[in-house]
Amino acid sequence: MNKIETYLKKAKENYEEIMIPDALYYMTDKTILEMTARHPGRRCKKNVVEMWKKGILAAAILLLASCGLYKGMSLYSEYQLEEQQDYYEVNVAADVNLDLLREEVSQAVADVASGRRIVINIKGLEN
Amino acid sequence: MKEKKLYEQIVQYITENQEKFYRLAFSYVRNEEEALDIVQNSIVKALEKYDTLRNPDAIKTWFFRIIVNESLGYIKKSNRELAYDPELLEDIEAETPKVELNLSIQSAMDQLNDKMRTVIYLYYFEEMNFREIAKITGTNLSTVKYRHYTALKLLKKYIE
Repeated sequence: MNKIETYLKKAKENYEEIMIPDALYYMTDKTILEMTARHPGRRCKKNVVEMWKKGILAAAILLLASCGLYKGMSLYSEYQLEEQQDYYEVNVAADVNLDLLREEVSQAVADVASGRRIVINIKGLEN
Repeated sequence: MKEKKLYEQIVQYITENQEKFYRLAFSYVRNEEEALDIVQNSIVKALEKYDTLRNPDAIKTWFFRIIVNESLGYIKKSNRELAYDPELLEDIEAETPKVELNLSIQSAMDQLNDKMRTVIYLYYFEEMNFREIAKITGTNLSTVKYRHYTALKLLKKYIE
């Protein structure tokens, strides 16, 4: 094998001595110039297509985002309503303890002051 | 911007290595006009499909793959046997014994099939490693090693 490899190494020298015609440099420059001149147009066309794709994608994302936002807002409003409709129940028995009643009412007033809507049901007064 | 940079990199690579491409193409077809055609077609293909090159570090194997495929395609298309240009043969025979030695190895190489010859050209003349050759020829490493080993065995047989 070594003999063959030595032969091949010598053949490589011959390979490297292959004459390069001047036409090669001219042809390469010309081909590159022609291709580069064609290149921007092709890129522009491609970019237009890509812009359409990007536009559709952006519109889809925007639509999804607005739907999500709308749904989120609705849920939040419902939640707020539920939060606000907080019943405050005060049971008043026949033998009502006025001190306790006062304390309960002041607590309710404090809650109202904090912004929560309180419904006070006073039961037992019919007795 | 990235695309433009890649395009410029390919153009620069082609300009810097055009002589190598020509030599390789010439080794397959042994004809100046045809070798120039192969290089030109390869440049056109590379610049048309430059965006298929994912990894800019692979320009070398990517472009050599185009050259090799184009050369093999050219041989297949013209459907001809590779032979020495008679004029070239006369010129070479008139030269030194060193050239005669090269001629015998070249004649032996011409008897190899295209796949084996490609491995020999790329490994010994372009000094590529087996991994690079595998990428260029689109085969796996063991196939390249096997082709290399078999090619050397055949060359030995043809020369002796």
